[in-house]
Amino acid sequence: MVNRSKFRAFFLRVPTVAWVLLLMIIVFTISSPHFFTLHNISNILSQGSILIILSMGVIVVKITGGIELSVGGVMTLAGMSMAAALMKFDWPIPLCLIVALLVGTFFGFLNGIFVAKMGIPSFIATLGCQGMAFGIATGMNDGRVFSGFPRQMGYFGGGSILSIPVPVCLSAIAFLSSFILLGYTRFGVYVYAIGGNEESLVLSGKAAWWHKVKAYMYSGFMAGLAGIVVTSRNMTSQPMVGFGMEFEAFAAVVLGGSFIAGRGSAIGAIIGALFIIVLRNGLNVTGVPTYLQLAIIGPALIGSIVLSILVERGLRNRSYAGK
Amino acid sequence: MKADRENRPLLQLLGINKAFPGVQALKKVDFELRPGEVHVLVGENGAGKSTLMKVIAGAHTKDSGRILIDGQEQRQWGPRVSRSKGVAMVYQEFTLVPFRSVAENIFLGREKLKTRVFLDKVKMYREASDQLVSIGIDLDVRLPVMDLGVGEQQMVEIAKALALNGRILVLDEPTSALTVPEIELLFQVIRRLRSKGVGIIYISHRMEEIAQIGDRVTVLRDGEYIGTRNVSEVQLDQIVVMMVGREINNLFSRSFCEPGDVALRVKGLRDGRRLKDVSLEVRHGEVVGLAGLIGSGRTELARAVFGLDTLLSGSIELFGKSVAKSNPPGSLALGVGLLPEDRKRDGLFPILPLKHNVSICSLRSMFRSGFINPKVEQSLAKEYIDKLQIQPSDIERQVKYLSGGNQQKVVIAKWLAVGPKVLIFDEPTRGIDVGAKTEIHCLMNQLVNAGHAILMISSELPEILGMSDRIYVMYEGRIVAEYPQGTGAELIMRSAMGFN
Repeated sequence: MVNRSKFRAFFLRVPTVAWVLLLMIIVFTISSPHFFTLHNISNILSQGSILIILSMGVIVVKITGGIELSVGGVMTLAGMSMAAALMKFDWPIPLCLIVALLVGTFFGFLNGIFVAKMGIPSFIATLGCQGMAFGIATGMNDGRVFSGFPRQMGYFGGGSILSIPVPVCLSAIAFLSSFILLGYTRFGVYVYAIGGNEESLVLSGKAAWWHKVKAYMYSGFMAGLAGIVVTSRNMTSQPMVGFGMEFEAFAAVVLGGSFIAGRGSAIGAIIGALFIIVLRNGLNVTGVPTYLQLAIIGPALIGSIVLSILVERGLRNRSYAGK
Repeated sequence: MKADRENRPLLQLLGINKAFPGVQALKKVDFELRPGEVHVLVGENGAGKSTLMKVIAGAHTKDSGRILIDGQEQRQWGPRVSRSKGVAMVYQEFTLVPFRSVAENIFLGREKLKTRVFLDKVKMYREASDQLVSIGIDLDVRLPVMDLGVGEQQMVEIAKALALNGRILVLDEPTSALTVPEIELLFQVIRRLRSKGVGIIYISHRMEEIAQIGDRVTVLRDGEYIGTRNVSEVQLDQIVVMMVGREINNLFSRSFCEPGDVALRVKGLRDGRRLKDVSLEVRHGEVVGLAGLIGSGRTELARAVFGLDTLLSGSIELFGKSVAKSNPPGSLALGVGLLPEDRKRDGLFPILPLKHNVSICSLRSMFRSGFINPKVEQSLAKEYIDKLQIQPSDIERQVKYLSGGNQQKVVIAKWLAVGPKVLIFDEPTRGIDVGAKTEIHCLMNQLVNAGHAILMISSELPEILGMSDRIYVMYEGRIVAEYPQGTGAELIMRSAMGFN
């Protein structure tokens, strides 16, 4: 009996999408010899690093109950700002990196103030900031891209440390950062508290609104980091590069089990992100045409989320009846 | 000297006044709490209990009056001071964070850290566990709160409130969501705390709890202090009189009439979850009481009859005709109305005006063309405001601003507008003050006299006893007994608790 309930508890903790991901990896491995190779895995993770980094920020906001739809625009603007600092003002690269991170964090701050202080629903506030960010990014070089960066700039998107691609290292750092932040710090507890029961935090004498702002700033910071990676990998900064990324990041965290406010985890979010990345890559490797891929990914996302909810509901009901 | 200190009140409130725009919520209220006593605070809804609690917690600032802690006047009083002086509040709505552990909840806002950044989980688990043990609870503090039962969550709330050297524990209707064994556990915890010298302010709607757990009782009415009595020296009737300010000779004014044909017949209902095997019938012109503990399946039965949940087996018969598969639109069309347990969540559209709340179920039958005639809708709402005496009589008022009793009347009006024959009242007077309660009961009386059939679920035995023609008792998903009008409370309670 104890064993069975432990078994159930384990299944409840692991997001359902993890099993779908596992299944998918097996299927793709069988159907293509090119899938489960070191080269392809490294490639997948490298390609997916931007989504992983964004998801690691978005999950924090999502747990507070917020919907963060600005990260696509913010990462674009961060990349453009960095490029502008580099190309127009000739600033040294480390300073340019800081510019990107600051731009991201600042937009997070704006989001946070709109949501936490002014009471604007998060998806409206962040969508507004997204528009603003894309607008500024586009206007920054009169709609043109920045390119012709010095070779060192390519390190963050194309370099490697001990033969591990730098973007993979950065996404690992982003993951560890969110994992520790959410699970092992005071701020993490407050993030869950805001989502689960904001009133309780206020009654505990804490300035809940400020912790909410910090959550958005963290997400903005991660968007800034993603902006660095994408710009460095492409060696150009395009004013629409992050278009649609906010929805993928959002889908990743929801897939990872953050259906409702106060729920979710960094592990879940990274599994959700990997699901999307592997699905895309697998479809590529197995030769599904791009236009069909979009038509498959959408329903696959919805299907996985529905499945997750059903599985969780089933497990919960049974454990309830078993009491 | 020592005896003197022991008798010195922990907390004294003298002549507290508090006004909100348009209302004098508290008028010169006095209150005193001694160490090691359970001081019950009672009063109708709107009597000022919550306001007084919020003044004690520092959430509201008093307009005038004095607050004394250990005999010393407190000039600065706010949430922080209140907490630091040992006031521990347990609110009616739970304030726990569902996805985090019991320990993290107990230490919310005061987390133990190591190296100034990371949570010291080991220390938090140990201290939280100690805290729970000290109030007599054994619980795995690593479990996320969402995996606990409501009763256990309540205990976590208390442990959390007391964790900060709480000496003054304020419990706001702590039993409203608990089952009988959970209530017993809560009372054990309260007794243990009392013996340790903690002063407990206990707010309750349930009269029987005053005798069970209270040492003294203070009554508020309309924001005024009415009096304080020792529980051992007072009859519950006297307290009721103090609360309502008038003698209630006949709390339940039922006039019984000869019941007619069977309106609703349910046979062998099973849903594979809570309902094990339920059969009952309700006739025109009778109120059938459905007693039972929380969790016995009463609400599930109501939902199943209305067609909200799917059934595994069993049959439902309305007015002699079998219903193949009940569903809410079908029930509406056949004349079954459900007044849900949680009226704010399930029975009303809180931010819609009163008129829409009244008309919402009858729009289809009233406006066949598909277009709403606002005048007709308004006159419908006005008609029911008059009939049910809904206050304030403003058809544009959002119903969230109405009192509990008037909100319930709006739900009743909504159904009456449809013209139903069978009405299921799930906890019709929960959280409603005594005056409005009587009005709701009168309405029910009128309805059955007019030939309606009412199935009334209630956790309040006096209500079941006073209102019902017949009484069914549910226990663990089954009807375990049926009693005629005039059965003693004890017998019903025994059945409800599974003794036979």
